[in-house]
Amino acid sequence: MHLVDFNIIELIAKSTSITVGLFFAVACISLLCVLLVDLVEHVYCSKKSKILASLVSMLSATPELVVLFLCYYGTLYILKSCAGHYIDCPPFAAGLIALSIIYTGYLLPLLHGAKLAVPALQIKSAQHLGLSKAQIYLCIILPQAFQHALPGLTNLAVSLVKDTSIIYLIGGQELMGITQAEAIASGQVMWFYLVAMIIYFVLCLAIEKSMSKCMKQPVGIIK
Amino acid sequence: MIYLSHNMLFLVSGIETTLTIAISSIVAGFVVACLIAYFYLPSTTLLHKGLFAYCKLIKGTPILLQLFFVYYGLGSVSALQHTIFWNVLKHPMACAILVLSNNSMAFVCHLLAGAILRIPQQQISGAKNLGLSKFKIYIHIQLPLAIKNIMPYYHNEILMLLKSSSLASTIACLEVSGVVSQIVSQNFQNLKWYGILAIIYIFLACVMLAAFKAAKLYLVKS
Repeated sequence: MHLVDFNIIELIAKSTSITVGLFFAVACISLLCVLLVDLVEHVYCSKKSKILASLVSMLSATPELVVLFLCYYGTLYILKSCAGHYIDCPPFAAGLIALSIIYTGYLLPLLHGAKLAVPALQIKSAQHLGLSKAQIYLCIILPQAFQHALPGLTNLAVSLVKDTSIIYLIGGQELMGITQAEAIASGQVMWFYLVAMIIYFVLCLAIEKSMSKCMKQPVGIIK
Repeated sequence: MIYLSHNMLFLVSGIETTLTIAISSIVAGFVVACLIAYFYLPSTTLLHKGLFAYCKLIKGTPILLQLFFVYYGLGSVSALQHTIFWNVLKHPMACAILVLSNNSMAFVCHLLAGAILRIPQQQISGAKNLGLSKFKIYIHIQLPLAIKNIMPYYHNEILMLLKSSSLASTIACLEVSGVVSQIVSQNFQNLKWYGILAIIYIFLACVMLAAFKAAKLYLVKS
């Protein structure tokens, strides 16, 4: 028998909203970062840069846990060396930085693959029309690559919702943290874990359905 | 010097545990997925619907939560403590292998089912004309072709399992992340040791991908 206490329901609802907010924040930051990095790479390097590719593959081989701890302790170290004494770093800030770095690393190969699916003829005709490299990237390559990248983006979005749970390990109080704290406090671990699993499952399902709705709408003039 | 060598031995035992967990989960998940992918193919049976829902649940929940569910959740159910399952549930490494192979099975099932659906129908109808049963068609034709088709996508799966094995350190399993956490709790040199841990994981990933490439070449040859 589990206690249906309104306080617990409120806590779980609040922590779910924190998880969703974290998801949107990391998604926005990593998308912006990857677009920036790719734009700079497209404009200034004629071929795909090998250093960036090897950095990204090394990042994708490192566990999220390790990147999270490195970001957390690295931020603390930087703050301490700047200020001279210990400054506390909120776990969500470190988690945001870590998850953004990880997902930028996942998004870069995805974007490269999606860019390859854009017909090269369009880029050539745009070059003949006199468009600059940045204009070609933003107006022609990007909208069409987005449609090709959507299935991979759906996978990454679902993976991101699940990865927000690791912030519990540096003390963040989102859905996983609140679940664990309440489970240990009340002693009825199974109920809390089941509720958390259902909430994560519903979140992942919602993301999948909304992204699949995006895929039905055609983007761009030339299909 | 003795202190350094003590840390090195500790790290080596942790790397051994990590490789055990990762390789066991890969192999177990692959074998079970090969057996179960037949029921994952689209059909109207209750078994398919149940399996589909179960795999969707596994793929939609974080691995950390599943680890806690199995180790702390199922381990706290007093009814289970007197059954044979307790032999698995009391060892954190066995729980980690169980959860990770579960995850691997769910993803590989999905991959295999997609690969099976892409096999040209002429092969299946030819086999049916020869009088092969559904089970024989699955074992001799659909499965080998599907495994060959998913090999390029499998290296992602291997990396995912290696990275998820680091989460086993949260349920008191002394694999390499757990070992480094313990070392760090004693000497507080956080950045240095987590940097070493990142390098260890990159090295392990290179080793595992090289082994997988060798296995792939052997499969393609035969």
